[in-house]
Amino acid sequence: MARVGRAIIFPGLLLLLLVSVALATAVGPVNIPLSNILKALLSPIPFLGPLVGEPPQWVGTVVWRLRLPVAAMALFVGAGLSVSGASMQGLFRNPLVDPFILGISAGGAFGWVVALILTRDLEGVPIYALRALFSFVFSLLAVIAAYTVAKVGGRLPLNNLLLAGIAVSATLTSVTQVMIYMFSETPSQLIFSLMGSCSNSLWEEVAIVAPVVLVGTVLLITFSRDINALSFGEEDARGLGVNVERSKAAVLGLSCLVSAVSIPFCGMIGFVGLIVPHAARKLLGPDNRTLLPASALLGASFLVLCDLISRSALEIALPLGMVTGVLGGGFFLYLLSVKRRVPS
Amino acid sequence: MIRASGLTAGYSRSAPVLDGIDLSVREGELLGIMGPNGSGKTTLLRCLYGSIQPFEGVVELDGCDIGAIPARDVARRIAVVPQETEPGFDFKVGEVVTMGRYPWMGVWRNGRNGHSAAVTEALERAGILQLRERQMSELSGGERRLVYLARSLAQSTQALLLDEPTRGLDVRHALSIMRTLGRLGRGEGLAVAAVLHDLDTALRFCDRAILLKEGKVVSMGVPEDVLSPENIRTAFGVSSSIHRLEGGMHLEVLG
Repeated sequence: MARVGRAIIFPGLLLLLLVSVALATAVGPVNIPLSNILKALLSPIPFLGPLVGEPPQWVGTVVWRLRLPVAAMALFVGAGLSVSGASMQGLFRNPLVDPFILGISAGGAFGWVVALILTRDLEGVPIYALRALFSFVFSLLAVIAAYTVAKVGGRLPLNNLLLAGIAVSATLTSVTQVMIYMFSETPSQLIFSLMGSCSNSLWEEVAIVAPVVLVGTVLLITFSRDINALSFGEEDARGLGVNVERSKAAVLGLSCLVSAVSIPFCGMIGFVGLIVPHAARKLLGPDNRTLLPASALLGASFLVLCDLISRSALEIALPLGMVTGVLGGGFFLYLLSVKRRVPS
Repeated sequence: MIRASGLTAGYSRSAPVLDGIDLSVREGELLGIMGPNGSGKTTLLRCLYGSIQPFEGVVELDGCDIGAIPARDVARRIAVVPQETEPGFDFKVGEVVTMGRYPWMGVWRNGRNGHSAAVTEALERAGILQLRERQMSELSGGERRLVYLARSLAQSTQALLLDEPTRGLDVRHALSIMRTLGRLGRGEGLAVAAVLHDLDTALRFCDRAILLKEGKVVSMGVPEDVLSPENIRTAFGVSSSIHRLEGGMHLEVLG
């Protein structure tokens, strides 16, 4: 596909996001007409509110209490996973890398379950934040473990990294499951919530995820030129003046942060970080200065829409991770089967 | 501009690749670094831009220890064209050359600082302005080499270090690259150092040459003296002769 200009892409992606959120707010067990959605959204705003008028009270409740927090959670989680995937693909010079494959997700889930077991009788926002912190720390440890095992001498052969990531993921996932069965009183519920879902999100939870993803994404974008240079390898990046070790550590840490923060609230949502950067790269090319913000916007829309599909496609609500898994797994197989120009 | 003294360096202290090298790269000249495979040419180049720290000795950039200068400041003064570099993704030529502006860019608002003009100028100097919008994957090996040369020119440095800039190129492209390097050195006053495998090329284009063997200097000076039959026999174990022909000197390896 030919690359399209940024002048069209970015407004287009913003529009897509708005439409996705509007759809996610309108569609549900009870469909709400767009006029009422607009009223519900605009009526709390001073001056503008009286002009559009009040919606029926139940509409306000459904929109603000039930559907918007879920859409907002999907939006930020999708943006975080995608920008994390795009950054890691650039850093490791490979389009097949994503937070799932490198063990971030498994590490995050492990950390979350550990925190959950330690704080099982406690509730409240500080506790949620503490669990998110555990999730982040263990996701970082998982990536560092995979990275250290994969590194031979000064080089990082890609096959090693992928295999090490898969091994770390598999081990941590199994240990997590063992812990759940040994220590949890409601193991099936926990396993289910790890399968990925935004459906019970609260504003308090969004308030933890949103700032982390926003700040993390902006910081990652400030490293986009470093990631560009690192696409040519570390030696070359150094010649261009990149402080390689500092940039690598920062990009890795921030990528873990923006993807792992979602795990305590939404579980493991796979493949978003793989397919969204791919699509964005098709649209805009590999320059991370535009790729990272585009991935964030596209990933936000993608997960909002996937969440919509997960709760309205069938009679029962599917876990969100299942929907992204089916879509992403298929896409991954397609990528592997099609001959691409991307050098290995 | 770049001065190395008493340089002992490598990847393990017990078996250093370079052993006590003294060398300077001066402005306004093209220096050829030669030697058999494994003689330490690439390691020497990497020392010269501070990518590896020597075990003993020091590399000075304009009188300061290069190890103490931040990578970004080094990259404002020395540009490197590595031997082989393959981007992980299919960038456009213009995007790759823009990366040469990295050491001069801030985090935000880089649109109005003349970077685009510097990129255009670098593409022109390398003779590949017409390739700006092309994808790297569409280019031949020779064209790609020119793109990396353009990227190093976009760095606006006083020194240029190249690792085998003509490797794998046909004669026409190799000649074109060597002429460009000669022009950058003698013509534009840059300090240029290149690792070269082709001795005849070095003889014809370099102002000075250094011949290495097993991490030690066999000879250094004017190419005609450095590439004498005795030195070449010492370094490579082959016999050779230099002919004066119309248009300059030529080195013939006899076997």
